[in-house]
Amino acid sequence: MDDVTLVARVRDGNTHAFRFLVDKYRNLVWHMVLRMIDRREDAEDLCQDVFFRVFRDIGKFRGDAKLSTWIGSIAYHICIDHLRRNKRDLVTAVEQFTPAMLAKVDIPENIGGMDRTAIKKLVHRVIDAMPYNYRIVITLFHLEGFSYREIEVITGMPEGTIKSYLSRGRQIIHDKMLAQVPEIKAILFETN
Amino acid sequence: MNKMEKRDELKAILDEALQEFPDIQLPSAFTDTLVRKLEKRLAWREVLAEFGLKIGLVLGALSVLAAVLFFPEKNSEIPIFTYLLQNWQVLAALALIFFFTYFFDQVFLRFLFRRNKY
Repeated sequence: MDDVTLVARVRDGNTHAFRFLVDKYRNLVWHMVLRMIDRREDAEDLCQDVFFRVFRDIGKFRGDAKLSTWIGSIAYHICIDHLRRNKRDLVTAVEQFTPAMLAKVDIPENIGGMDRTAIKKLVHRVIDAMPYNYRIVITLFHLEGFSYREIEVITGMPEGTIKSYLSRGRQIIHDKMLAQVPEIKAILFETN
Repeated sequence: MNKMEKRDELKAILDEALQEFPDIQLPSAFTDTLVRKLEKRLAWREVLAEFGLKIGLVLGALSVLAAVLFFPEKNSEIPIFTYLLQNWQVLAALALIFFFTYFFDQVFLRFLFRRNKY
């Protein structure tokens, strides 16, 4: 079922169509919410809130953006509201972020060599330790495959900021990997 | 593997990691629970809307009746209004009893039965 038909049916109050919509977009919403919200216990409730809002506001969807972008935007704003309710220094935290703050990222086990699984775990831990802006932009771009323009629609951030978060975030992860996995550092900086 | 290849492999691992999500899944029953909750909400809204409509119809009918009785004889005293004004406490009590019984029957019980269905 394509998105236009799906939206029309959900708009008519068809709960079967709504079930289909939830199944189609649940991973997108879950990834976004989980990346933005630290507390996993709240994440499932927030996912429910997102889909209730989608059902309530589906009449406002004009179709000038993709349905995934529109749902992503709802998820983003619900998470922001949640963060604002729970953390007053939300904006300050992002502005004051420096890569040095990642020093506290704990590494569960000794990573040896180019062990892909362990390195991936490290990458995810580094991402989790970043401010929400970096996390969400990295998730939307790399994991969900949204374009800069679509991320702009979802988050309201200017395209330049998005690109900056992406490149800086990637650099931070890269640097952290080099710092935490000495063998990688040795490989990259060995003198041939 | 030379330095360049190793650098590329590191880049590939990073790309791979960024395109994956930690293995934390939404519970498999998420969609069912969500749709059930939505159906309950819709049922509750429908029952309340019906109740509001019925109460509105009753009040509307009473208002029309009052208007029909009142306007033709505006200047003279109408016995039925005098009677109603004199006994307003009894009438208010009756109206409240009617309202709550009707609410219980049309909203509360119906919602209760529908809820058991989900």
